[in-house]
Amino acid sequence: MAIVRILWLFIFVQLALGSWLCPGADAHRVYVFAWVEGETVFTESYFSSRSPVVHGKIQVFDLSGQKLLEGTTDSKGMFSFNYKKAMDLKIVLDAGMGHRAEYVLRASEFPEKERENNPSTQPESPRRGGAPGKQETGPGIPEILVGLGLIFVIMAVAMYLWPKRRT
Amino acid sequence: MHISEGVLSVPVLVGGGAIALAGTSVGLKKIEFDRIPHVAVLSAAFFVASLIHVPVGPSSVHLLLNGLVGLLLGWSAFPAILVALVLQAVLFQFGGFTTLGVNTSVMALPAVVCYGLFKPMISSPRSWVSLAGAFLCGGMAVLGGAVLVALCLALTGEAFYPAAKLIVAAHLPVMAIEGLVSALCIRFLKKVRPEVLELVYGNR
Repeated sequence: MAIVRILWLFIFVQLALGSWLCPGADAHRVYVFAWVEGETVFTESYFSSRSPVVHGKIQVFDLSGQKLLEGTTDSKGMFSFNYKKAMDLKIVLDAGMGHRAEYVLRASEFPEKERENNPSTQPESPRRGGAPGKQETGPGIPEILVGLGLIFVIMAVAMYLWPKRRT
Repeated sequence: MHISEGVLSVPVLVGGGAIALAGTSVGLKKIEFDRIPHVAVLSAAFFVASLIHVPVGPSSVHLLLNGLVGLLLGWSAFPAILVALVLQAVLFQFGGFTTLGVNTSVMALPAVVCYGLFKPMISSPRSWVSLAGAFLCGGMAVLGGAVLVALCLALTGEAFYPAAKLIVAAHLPVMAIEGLVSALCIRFLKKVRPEVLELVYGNR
C-alpha cells in the first residue's frame, strides 16, 4: 500500500512539476534553420528540446514550388548542399510522424547578393558552431501558466452560462 | 502526436474537422453542470501532459493522457481535448489551426472508443478486473491515436505500414506509462473520490 502511495505521489509530482523542471522537453514541434557559408547552404533541424532531427527528410524548393533537391539529415540534424546562384529558397523538413517545418532562406542572405547590393561590404567570415539563429525553444513557464489560467477562465464562464439542470 | 500544418491533404483535414465537430457537439450535450470542473481539470492535465517527454532512441515522445481523459469523461473527452489543443496551438505553436480538427479526432476518438470498450471492465466490482480495464484503456487509447496518425498520413500519400510501425514503436513506452497512470488513477479515485467514477460509470 505504501508503495502504491509513493508511486502515486511520484506521478503527481512529475505531472505537476514536469513542465517546470524540463520546459521545452518535448518532441512535437520541429524547427529547421538555414544559413550560408561560402558556397554552401547549411541546414540544421532540431526538436524544441534542442535534440537533433536524425534522418529527417529535407526538401529544397524555389518560391514557385519547384523542387530543386532533397536529402537527409545526419546524426547531428545537419544537411548541407552547394548552391549555384543566390535565390530565395524554401527549405522544408519532414521529421516523420506528422512533424513538419519550413524555413525561407532569402537571396539577400547569400554572400554574392550582399556584395552586389553593397560593394563596400567585405564578405562575412564563415560562422562556425551551429545555426547562428537557433533561438527558438519550447514553451516556457509563462505560456504554461497562461494556458492553465485560460482553462480556469473557460471553466468559470461555462459554469456561469451553463444551465444548471438539463433535460 | 501533433500533426503539423501543411502535412495533410484537404479532404483529410475536412474529415477530421467534421469528426471533431460531431464529437464535440455530443460531448458538450453530455456535460452536466456539476461535471464542468472535472472536464476542466482533465483538459488542464492533457494540456500539460504533452510537456513531459519520454526519451525514445535518438528522439523523444511525450505523454498524451487521452486514455485517462476518455476514461473519466467519456464523450466529454472531445471538448476537453479540443480546448487543450487550441491552447497548445496558440501558446506553444504545437500542431496548428488547420490541423486542429484532425488532431482532436486523433486523440479523442480512441479515447471515446476505449471508454466504450473497457467500461464494463472498469465498472466491475472486482478490483483487479477494474484495474486491468483502466490499464488497457490508457494504453489502447495511445495505440489508437498512433494508428490514426498513421492512417491520416497514409490517406495523404505516405505508406501506411511503415508509418504505423514507426509511430506505434515510438509510443510503446508511452502506452505502458499511460496504462499504469490510468490504473493507479482509477484505484485512487475508487478509494478517495468514488463519486467521481459514479458520475461516469454509475453506482456499483
